[in-house]
Amino acid sequence: MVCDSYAEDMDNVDTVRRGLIAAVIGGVAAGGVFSPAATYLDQFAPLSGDVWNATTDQPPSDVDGPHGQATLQYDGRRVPEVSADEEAALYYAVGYAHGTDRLFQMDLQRRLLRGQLSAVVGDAALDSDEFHVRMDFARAAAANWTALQSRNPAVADILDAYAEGVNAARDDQHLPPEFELLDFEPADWTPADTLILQLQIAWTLTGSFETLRRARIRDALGDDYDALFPRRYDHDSPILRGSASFAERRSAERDAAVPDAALTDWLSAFESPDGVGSNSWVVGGDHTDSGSPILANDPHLSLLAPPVWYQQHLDADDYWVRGVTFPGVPFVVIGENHAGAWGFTNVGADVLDCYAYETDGDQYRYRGEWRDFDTEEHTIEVADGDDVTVTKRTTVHGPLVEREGQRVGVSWTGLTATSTTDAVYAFARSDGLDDFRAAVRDFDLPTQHVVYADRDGNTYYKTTGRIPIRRVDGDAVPGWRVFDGSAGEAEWEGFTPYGESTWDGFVPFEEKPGAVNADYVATANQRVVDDPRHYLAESYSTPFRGERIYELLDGWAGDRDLTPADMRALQTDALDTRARRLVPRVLDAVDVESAGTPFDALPDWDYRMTPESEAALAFATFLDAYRERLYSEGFDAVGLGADDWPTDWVTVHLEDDASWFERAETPESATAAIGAAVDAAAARIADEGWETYGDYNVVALEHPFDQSFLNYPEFETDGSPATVNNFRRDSDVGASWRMVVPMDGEATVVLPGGNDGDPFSESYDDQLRAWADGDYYTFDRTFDGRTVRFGGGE
Amino acid sequence: MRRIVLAGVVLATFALSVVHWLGLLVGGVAVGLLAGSWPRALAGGAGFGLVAWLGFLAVLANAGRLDGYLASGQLLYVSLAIPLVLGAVGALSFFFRTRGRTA
Repeated sequence: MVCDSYAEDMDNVDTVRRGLIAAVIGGVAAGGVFSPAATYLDQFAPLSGDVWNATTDQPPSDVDGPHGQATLQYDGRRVPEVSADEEAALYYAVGYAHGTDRLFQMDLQRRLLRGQLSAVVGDAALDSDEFHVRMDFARAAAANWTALQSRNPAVADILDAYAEGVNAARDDQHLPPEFELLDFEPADWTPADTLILQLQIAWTLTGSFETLRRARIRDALGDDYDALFPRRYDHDSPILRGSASFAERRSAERDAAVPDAALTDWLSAFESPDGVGSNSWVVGGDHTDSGSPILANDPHLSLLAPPVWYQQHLDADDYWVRGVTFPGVPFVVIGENHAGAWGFTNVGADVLDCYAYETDGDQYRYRGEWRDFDTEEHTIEVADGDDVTVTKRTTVHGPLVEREGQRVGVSWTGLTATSTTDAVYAFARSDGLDDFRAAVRDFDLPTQHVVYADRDGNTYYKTTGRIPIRRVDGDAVPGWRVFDGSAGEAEWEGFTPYGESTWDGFVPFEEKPGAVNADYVATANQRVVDDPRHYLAESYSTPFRGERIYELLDGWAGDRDLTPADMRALQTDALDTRARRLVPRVLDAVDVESAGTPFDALPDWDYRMTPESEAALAFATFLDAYRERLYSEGFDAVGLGADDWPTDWVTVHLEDDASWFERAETPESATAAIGAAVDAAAARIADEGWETYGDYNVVALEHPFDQSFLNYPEFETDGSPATVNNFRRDSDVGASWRMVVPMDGEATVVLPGGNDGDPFSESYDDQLRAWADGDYYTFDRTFDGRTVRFGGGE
Repeated sequence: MRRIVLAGVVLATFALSVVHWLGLLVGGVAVGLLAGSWPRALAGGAGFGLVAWLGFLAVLANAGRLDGYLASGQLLYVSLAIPLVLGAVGALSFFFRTRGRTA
């Protein structure tokens, strides 16, 4: 009886225990499936995790290419060589490569321009989406696609084939890890997406609301404005030297409106980051060791993980071309082909105007009559939130951007159909200088300095892109003020927003600056010429890089013939001419020996911003503190912020007797500010524990998600915002591609990162260390990696 | 015989792990049911998870992704912990078939 009872008790205990164990195991299983942990298990569980499936998936060996045979083969750094006899097959395979290696980046960029980021990242991107919807870049891209199909069906067919290739790669393989992390799938890639990416690049380089910012600063600073924000920097290193003296244009007219900070600050958030620009130069054969030209280019864009550029080599039936393109764009944008090489830098041309209107509700006054705004309701989808509806308004000039009751109309040359795609396609096929010059005529957007060299020994420089001529009362006027849109002031003749433009009222191609077979030409976003025939730009970049490039080229060319190694040394030159101007003043004002390390290194410094330099650390931190002392309180007092401060050109030239120092909120003098800045810089260095410039000047590039496993490793590097080796630690802008191409000799290149967008790939960041160290790889590659054959291609 | 069954079960659940993480839990359950003692069950469950993780490393190495994975920090730790924990929890199944024995 006792035994039976014991057995019964034990059975009960077993039942309870089994139930408990079942509950634990079942609970873990259920919790893993239904709780928030499910996302992590689905994404990161070894073997089955979506992220791991995404990263380990590789393109298949054979793909049914609908356009004929093609072959794609990678080298050891994930650079593809694509070969085909037919261009449709060639660019289908290029699309497949981009879709395999950079699909997330491509999707993110088109979402940015289309105002669709909030749909995947939530309301943090709502401001961005609203701006891009109001500008209606999507409508401009659609207009561009419509025009391209009738203007150049051959190129349109290539964009179609490219899009098919992107979509085939998407369908054949797991989506990149980022799609798994955000849990969404990309829509079909379309030719209009390619064109909207071109608009994104153009906007980055030319979409500037400087007119609005300057109007507000001018209004706030009054008489001090001209000294702190000169229209012209006083230097002798324009791109084309030896032209007539500068005839400064003045505009007696006032702004039609001065929008306040609510609008200008909001718009400024969508302009390019500080420091976007570039270097390029071309040296004629008379000055080279080989007797053939050498071309160099390093575009300074945002440094991202992965990079903005994608390197590719293409072999067609009757030409080859290699270089870099923006993922999403099929054609090599910067590079070389069988006949020559080319590169670009930004002009900084004024191709955006703002117009103020007399308005009444949904009407605006235009040339004496009231007109309705063209309006359209647009719904912005928001992940984990309510959709937001934006009313898009346009006028005869273009989109109306508005914020907190402030409104301005915007004309931008990118908001109409352009033939830039035709030009970039033609560059790849060009067979020498004449071909290339013909193609440059179609390069409508963005306004760029193009440099070119061919294997016959020719060189070429040209300011490209459509630049409007504004007229008020029949007279040409600069575009540096807000115009009266209601009066029809300064309209762009021949410009049709969201349609096809005739460009009748724009600067004729022949009247834009250029040079054929010059000794050498150097472009670094500085003033183009001293006295241009037409108004070109509201302002140019500071001339620090331009003057240094010419200083070295002049010196070297006077002594000897130049080599590709000289060009690489020039691209990575780290001498800071700001320091050369300012450090002697520091030494006069302060006893740096008593200031201690690292300031006691300044007297013997060669002004080179290199990682091992103590003096470079002293100068960089001093300059940060000096700006703060000069401007912070003075600008605060008139309602302006740090983004509104003058450039470093003004800063290093600001003398003790400047009227700026007569204000109550400013230092007593520049000399007084120097002393205070050295003290502040010393305190900062002590706080941070920095010892050399390499501790301060770190390249730390982030993936858009800013997760440690997606970001790039950090390296110290050379350069500063004012050296030829342009690196801006505060805005992560620098050389996004370095290329030195002799017409006779070994070409060298390097990317700041890697060609593969997969964060777990060895080629995600395998060029970054070389880039940070100023090293290069040969342009020639050995393609012996994974191979994909299309349509039975060999 | 038990070893042959164990090997077959491990292979089957490993294959299941390739398509869903529940395979890691099921593998632990299978090992626990076949273990002769709780310590062996626990070691077997965690060991199954470790084997699955090593297999995962082989997959990554084959795809040229091992270095990137080993440098991924937090992701590395999470993806190592998942099979170890699931395998060990699954091994609790040992207590399904025993009558009060805990060692």
